Amino acid sequence: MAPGLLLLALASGEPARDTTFVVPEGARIAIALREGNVRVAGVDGREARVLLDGEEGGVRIAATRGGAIHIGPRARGSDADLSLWLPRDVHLTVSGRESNITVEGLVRGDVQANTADGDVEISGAARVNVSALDGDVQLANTGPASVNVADGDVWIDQVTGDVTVNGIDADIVVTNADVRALSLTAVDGDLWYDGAVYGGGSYSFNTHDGDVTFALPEGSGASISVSTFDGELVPSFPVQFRGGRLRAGEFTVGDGSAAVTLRSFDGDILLIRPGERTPDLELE
Amino acid sequence: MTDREQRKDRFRDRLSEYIDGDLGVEEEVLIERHLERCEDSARTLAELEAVVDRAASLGPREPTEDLWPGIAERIGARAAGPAGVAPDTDAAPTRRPPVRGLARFAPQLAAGIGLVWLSGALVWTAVARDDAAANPGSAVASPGLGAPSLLPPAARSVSTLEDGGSSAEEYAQLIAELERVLFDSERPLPPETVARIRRALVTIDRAIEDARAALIEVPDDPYLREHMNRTMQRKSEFLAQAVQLAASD
Repeated sequence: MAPGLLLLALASGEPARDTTFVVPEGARIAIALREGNVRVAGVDGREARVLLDGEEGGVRIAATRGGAIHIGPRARGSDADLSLWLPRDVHLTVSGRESNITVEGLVRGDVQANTADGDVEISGAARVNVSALDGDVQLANTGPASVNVADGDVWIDQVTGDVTVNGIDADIVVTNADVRALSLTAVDGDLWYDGAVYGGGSYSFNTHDGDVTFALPEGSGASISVSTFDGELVPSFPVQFRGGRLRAGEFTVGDGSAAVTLRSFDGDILLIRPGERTPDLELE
Repeated sequence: MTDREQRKDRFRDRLSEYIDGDLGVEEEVLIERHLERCEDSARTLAELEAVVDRAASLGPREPTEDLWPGIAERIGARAAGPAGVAPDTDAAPTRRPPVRGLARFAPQLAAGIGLVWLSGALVWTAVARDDAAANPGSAVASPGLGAPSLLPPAARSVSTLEDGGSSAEEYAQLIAELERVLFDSERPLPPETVARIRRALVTIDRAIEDARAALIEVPDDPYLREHMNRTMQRKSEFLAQAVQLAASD
C-alpha cells in the first residue's frame, strides 16, 4: 500500500455479519450496495451496530482518510439487506441501485438517499436529500428537504424548512408543512400543498399534466399568480383577477405578503381552505 | 486496451480529484481499494501529490494565455454541428483529459452554455467524459430528443428566462450534449436503468411536444414560452442527474 493511503478496516479478520463500533460525534457515514434493502434506525449513545441479512459474506466497514465511514457488503454486487443502528447525529448517505431505503430517527443528522429502483422512507432527520429513478418517497418529521424522483409519488408530511421537489411522472403531496420556501414541479403529476403560508414566503407549483391544489389558510395573505393552458382556476372562495387572460392572472388575498405561483399546462388549479379536501394519493 | 487497463485508466483519471478531496465517499473508497492493489496507480498518486506539494510552494501566477476562447470555440463547434448526424460507432473512445485542467474553467463553461443551475463540477464532468463529442462526427444524437432543428420558430425566438438567461435552443444543445454523455458512456448503465431513464425522457418529450404545439397555436403567450423553456430545463436537469448516477455507478 502506498504511504499515506491508509484504508482503515474497522472490521478485520473473518467477515462479520453482525458487528458494533463506536462512531465519533457528527460522523459522516456512507452506505453503498447494489441490491438489497437498507434500514437505519437512530439510537442514543455512540455505539453503532451493523447487521447483514442475506447471502453469505460479511460487512465491510472502512474509514476513508477524509474521515467518512463507509459501510457495505464485503462482496460487491452481493444481494444482502443491511440493518443499522446509528447515533442520531450522524450524517448519512445511502446509495443503492435496487434498494428500498428506510431511515428513522436520525434527528440531528442529514440524510441523503439515492436509489435507481426502490422506495425511500425517511422519518426524523435534520435535512433530507433524496434521488430516486423509480420508487415512491415518503418523508415525515424532517427539516429542509430536496427530492428528485423520475417515476414515483412523493408524500412529505410535517416538514419544517425549505422544500424542493422535482418529479417527472410523479404526484407530489406536502401536508402539515411549516415551510417558507417551497417549489414543487412535475411533468406528469398532481401537486398538492396544505400547510403554513408565511408572509414573505415563496410557494411555487408547476406541472405540465396534472392538477395543482393549494390550501390557503384563513387569515393568510398572498399574491397569487395563476397560469394554465388547458385547465381552469377553481377557487373554493371568492377571488378577483387583476388583469391577465382568462386562464392566467393575478390576484391578492389579504395583505398579499406571500408569493404564490400556481401553474399547470393541462390541469386545473384548485384553491381551497385547509382540510377542505384530502389528497388522493396511495403509496404502495 | 483490455478491460483491466481501461479500469486502471479510469482510476488514474480520478486521482487528481481524489487528492483534492473532490470525490464522494463511495468513489474515495473505490479508489483506495484500487490503490491497495495497483502499484502503478499508487506510484502515479505519489507523483501527483509531489506535484501538488511543489505547486503549493509556488506563489499565485497569472495564466500565460486565456484558454477560454478555445473552449468556447469547442463548445460552439459542437453546438453548430449538423443535427441528426449518424453516430460514428467506430470512433475510438478518447481518454479523458486531466480533470484539473477543465475544472479550472468550470465557471466559464457554466456561463458559456447557460448552465447556471448546475454545479460547475457536474458541467466539467459532463464535458470531460465526452471527449468524443469534441469531434462532431463522433457525436451520438438521439433522434427527436431536443435537437435544435426540431424547435418551433416561436421557441427559437425565446431569448431569456427569468432564472437562467438561457434560450430554448441552448437547452436543446445542452440536452443533446448530456444525452451523448449519458448514452455513449464508456461505463454503460445497466439496461434496466437505461429503460427507466428513457421512459422518463418519453414523458418529458411528450410535454415538450405539447408545449410546442401550443406555441404554434398561441405563439406570443408568455406562459407557454416560459413553460416550454422550463420543460426543456427540466429535461436537461434530469439528464444531468442521470449522468451523475452513471458516474457514481
